[in-house]
Amino acid sequence: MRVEPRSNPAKTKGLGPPTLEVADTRVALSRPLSQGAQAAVPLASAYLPPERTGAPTPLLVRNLEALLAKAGRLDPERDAPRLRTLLRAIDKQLGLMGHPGASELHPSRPPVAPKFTGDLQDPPGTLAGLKFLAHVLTHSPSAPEKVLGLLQLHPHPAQVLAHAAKLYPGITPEDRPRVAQALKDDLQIGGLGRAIEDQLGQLGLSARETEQFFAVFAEVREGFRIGAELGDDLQRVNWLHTRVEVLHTLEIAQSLGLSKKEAKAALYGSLFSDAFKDQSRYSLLWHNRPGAELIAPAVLGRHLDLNDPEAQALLAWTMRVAHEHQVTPPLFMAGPMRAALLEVVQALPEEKRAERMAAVEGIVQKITTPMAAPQHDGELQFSALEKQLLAQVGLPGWAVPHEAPWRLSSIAAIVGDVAQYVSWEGIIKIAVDLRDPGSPMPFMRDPVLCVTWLHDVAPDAAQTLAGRGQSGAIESSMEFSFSQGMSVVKEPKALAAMDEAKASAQGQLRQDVLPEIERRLREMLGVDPGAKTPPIPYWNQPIAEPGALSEAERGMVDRVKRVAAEVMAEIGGVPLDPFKLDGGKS
Amino acid sequence: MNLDEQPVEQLITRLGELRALGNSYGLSALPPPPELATEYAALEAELKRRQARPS
Repeated sequence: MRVEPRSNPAKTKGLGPPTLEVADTRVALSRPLSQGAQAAVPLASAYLPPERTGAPTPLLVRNLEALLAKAGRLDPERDAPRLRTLLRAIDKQLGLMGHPGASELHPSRPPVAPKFTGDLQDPPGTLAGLKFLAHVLTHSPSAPEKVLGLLQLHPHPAQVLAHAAKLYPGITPEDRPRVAQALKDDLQIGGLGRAIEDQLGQLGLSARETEQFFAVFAEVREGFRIGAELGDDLQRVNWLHTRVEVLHTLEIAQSLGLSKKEAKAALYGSLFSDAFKDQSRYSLLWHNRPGAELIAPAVLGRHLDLNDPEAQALLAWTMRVAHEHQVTPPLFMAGPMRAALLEVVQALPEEKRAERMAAVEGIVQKITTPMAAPQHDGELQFSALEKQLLAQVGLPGWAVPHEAPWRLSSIAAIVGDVAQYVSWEGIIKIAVDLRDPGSPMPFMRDPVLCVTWLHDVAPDAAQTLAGRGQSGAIESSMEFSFSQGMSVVKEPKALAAMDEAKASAQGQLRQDVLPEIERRLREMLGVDPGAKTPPIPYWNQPIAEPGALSEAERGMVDRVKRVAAEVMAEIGGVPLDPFKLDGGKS
Repeated sequence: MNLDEQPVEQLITRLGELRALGNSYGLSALPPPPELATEYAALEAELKRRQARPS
């Protein structure tokens, strides 16, 4: 019996067609698979332990697809018992794929508890998730055990898969024109589409490659739209961020002199790095990994011909770029990481905490200064205890840019991301969507929207704030967050380009944005031309007690924020309601 | 850490760090640890106290 090549030849390239050693694997697998799985024998005969040949398990993936196809033909209502039985069999198979051989072949390994089908309360959703997984495994250059291992660390992999299938079901031929047009309309705002096309042309992408990219871009946008429509407003905010990050990444790719191959990896890597966020607890820490390991192969697998070695390399590089995006901004990631790990440690008996607390600080230190921390092959090096803690918050590791052929692609995508803090999309996100003087969290409050403006109109008040270390919401994005994000970048050309981007944003802020906010606020308040602008809390008068706003202050803060968002959106070409979910009100 | 002994610039830098850190919690489903708010309030109070102190 010979193993057929799977649909992604990169997986078996150079390994030759391995011969199955059926007898012992059949015996090994017949026990775990015999309970309720009609497919035990074909699965067993297809099973090829990677340890024996160094090869992945191609037939397992194919059999998984066959089982899923079979499950898909069942009516979820009428055939519910059969469907559940089949899903359990698939679950077991996935457990074995994640940890080949499990307890039978390797008694020292603990048995894996398969959990890819969740509690089977939602068979159609579960099935869609499993089909999505099969699609990923078929197209991903990663070994199945890596993908499944990542999922197994998550507390609810079935939900992750069902959600991924919901966001990225694939675009039907009938729906393609609508999705393409929606992207085109969206990118027309602010002239983004033309700017991206120009950059792609300058990088030497052919018409076919450009068309392919926009088809992928449209599918990713559709994923964000579905997420936002399901009620997750951060998906709207994240889309605004992603749509311009693509342009910033291309611009920095030009500045760094990336080749077409490198630039394409940067482009797709930046597109997928934030393509899978959900409202689960560890999503911020985790999202780059599923973006890389699930969404990139799923979507690119639909658009690229993965028989082409160039396309295989593009996918592999893209996945690393999306992964390595995890590194920044270091402080942003280190904070929630510490919070997540502390939750884990504090749930332990007191005598176990001290040693683990030291490990928590070790992890946080490495993530805060990722480029100085020891790493191997783009993964930070952690002690056994640190790894164990990371696994408890769903993380198999932490990726960093390193000396690899795609290093500059990673840097371009990282800088493209950090550029958000000096671009209007990002400033709106931080200064208007996230920060508020009435926030229950003191570190999310600012006494004014923009201290630059305060400095011009009320220098004494600005001076007082400076002495107290206080600043404005806009500066929270343009100053500290920006410099934090750039702390991992050492390339002089990238630093120069970003200095220029910051100076340009500051110039536009002073010349266009702030005067226009002032003009609209005066108009709104009916101030006579030539008359002095009255004190406006949060604009030209600092909030005296952030966190304890009076009703009048609250009303004025909301007006200032709304006007600021509108002005920044108009000047910066940002569609505040890109999916028209708010009836175009916001 | 005894805030009394820290130079103003260091307190201001840390305050800025905590504000930036806050932004990441705004994007995360993880609640910030209570110590963060405590530290922020202590820094704010210390800076106000220093400002009020005659030079």
